[in-house]
Amino acid sequence: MSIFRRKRTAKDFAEEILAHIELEAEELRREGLSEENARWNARRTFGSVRRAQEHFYMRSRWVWLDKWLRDLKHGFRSLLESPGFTITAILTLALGMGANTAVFSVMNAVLLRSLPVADADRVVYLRTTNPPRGTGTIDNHETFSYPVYDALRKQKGGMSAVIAYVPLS
Amino acid sequence: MSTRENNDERIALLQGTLDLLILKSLVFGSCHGQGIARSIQRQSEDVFLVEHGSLYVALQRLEDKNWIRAKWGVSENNRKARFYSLTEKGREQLHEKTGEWRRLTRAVGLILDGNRAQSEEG
Repeated sequence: MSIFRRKRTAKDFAEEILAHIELEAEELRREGLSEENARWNARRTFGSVRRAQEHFYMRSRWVWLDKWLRDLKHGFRSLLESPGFTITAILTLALGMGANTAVFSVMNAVLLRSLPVADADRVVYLRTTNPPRGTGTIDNHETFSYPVYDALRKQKGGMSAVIAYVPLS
Repeated sequence: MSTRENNDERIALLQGTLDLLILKSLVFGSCHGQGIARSIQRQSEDVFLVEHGSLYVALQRLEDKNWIRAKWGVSENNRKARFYSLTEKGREQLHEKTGEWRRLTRAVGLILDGNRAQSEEG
């Protein structure tokens, strides 16, 4: 069976071509050509060795693709043969994808797109290092007191606008 | 007519028929590529000059289809060579393709001869 046949290497093919040219040259020598002429003529009647090798390479690729397509067809056929399994699998995938899409759409609209800013890609998120102890309500590094926020907002030059938010939880 | 055009015609002529000629030349036993090329050339009284490189394209195709199988061996003058032989499937194909070819050449012959009769009339 061709599926189990070992794939032929390019080296094996190259050896066959060499053997061919040798055999042809020998036959030409027997027909009376000089050593040099026989060799030259054998190569000439073979044509392009490189092209033959390229063809060999491309052909083995095509065979691979062909087998792959046959596998694919076989897969579809087996799916058709067991419709119960197929329907269950398709429904499971559809529900999973649908749920993911729905959740992401909500998240996208509520959390990602709802920031009231003009250039969303220029927004920076401020945090501090070395915060004074005991001033933050949730996290010392990311929470600022109102006076600090007010000072940041009034400062000119650094940022065009500053907004603050209160976490939901 | 230039030699280049000559070459093109030769290859175009051989494309559909080379497979058949290879199968035919393997009927009486296994043979290596060079031997097949020689035998086609000899038996066609040198009308077909098979470019040996394109022979291997056809050999690969036939091997992939499982019409022929190949094995490394030693030639009569003690050289290593890859010997091709017909498979059972190849033998069937040869029979089928020969019939096809006969029908094709007959049909083309009928049309060509018919055309000649018409142009002679006119």
